[in-house]
Amino acid sequence: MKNCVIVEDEFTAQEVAKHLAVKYGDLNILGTFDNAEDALKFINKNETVDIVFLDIHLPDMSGFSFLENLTSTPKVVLVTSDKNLALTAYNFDLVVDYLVKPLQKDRFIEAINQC
Amino acid sequence: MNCIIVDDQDSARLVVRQLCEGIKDLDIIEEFSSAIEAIKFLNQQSVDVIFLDIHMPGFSGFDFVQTLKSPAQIVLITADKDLAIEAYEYESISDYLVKPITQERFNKSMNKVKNKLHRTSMMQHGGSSSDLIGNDLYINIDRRLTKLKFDDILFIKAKGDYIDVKTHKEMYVVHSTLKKIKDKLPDNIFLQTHRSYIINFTKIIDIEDNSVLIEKNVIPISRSNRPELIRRLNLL
Repeated sequence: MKNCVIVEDEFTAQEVAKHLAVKYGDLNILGTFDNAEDALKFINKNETVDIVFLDIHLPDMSGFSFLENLTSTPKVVLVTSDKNLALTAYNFDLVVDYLVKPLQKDRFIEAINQC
Repeated sequence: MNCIIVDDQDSARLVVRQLCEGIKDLDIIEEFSSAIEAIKFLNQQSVDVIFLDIHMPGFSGFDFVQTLKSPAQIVLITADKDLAIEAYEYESISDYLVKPITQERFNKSMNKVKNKLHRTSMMQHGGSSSDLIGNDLYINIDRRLTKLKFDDILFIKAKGDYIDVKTHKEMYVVHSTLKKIKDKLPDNIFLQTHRSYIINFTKIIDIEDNSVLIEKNVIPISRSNRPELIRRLNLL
């Protein structure tokens, strides 16, 4: 079973991601964070994180700055309502997929299968 | 790695060719000015990487990707910045490069492709983990998927970016990590005894304080992994 972390500041989106991860992804959720700083601290000292679901627009920093500050190498699935950052996302090797909110079950499963 | 270039413009193909020349182990085996020609070719022969233009007359890059049966990794090359979101819909698309492309960005892209190819090259017989687990593992040796029976594997040793897979007769060197292979092995017969070793514990001959003997190989046991090993033994 893979371990994941959800980094998302919107409560509803967080709940949806949790639900999909457990029900369809067969994932173990190690933590849920509503800000980048706490999430970074946790992931950087926790080698067992396999997948990070990451919102691009976080209150304290952008998802891309977040990726630059990661010292470990989990697979990252970006989750956002902003369609215009996919090109930038291709510059980051850790990013395996880019999902546009609202999250769709089938598309979410496809993303996890690539992790 | 071998690749093909699919672009209707001669000058665009030239640019990609020049970028490819900067990559040591990348061979261009063919170039195509039409997507249809490329599809015909790919029905006969498989390649590792396809450099693909999105906007081509008649048959777009995305049409091409949908038609493709080959497991190749696709790198889109385009002047159009607005289709990246659509590109994420296709698992086979590894990267999206916008012209003009620097050699640096191209190199990075090729590293990404290599990693993806290595990742897909080691797969377990029987498909996804929720399916029935088979009795064997396929490893990629010189682009050949070689079948290993779990029961033939003695132990696996980590060595930088590679792992050594030791069987009774052979030693295979595979580009992978211990963590990845561990996920593929059934844990009823395999056990990690050390940061760098996973053993098939049905092959153990004897156990000393901090090492275990398998055939003629002495494998270390770390202090933290020892209790788990002892627990799994049928101990008198």
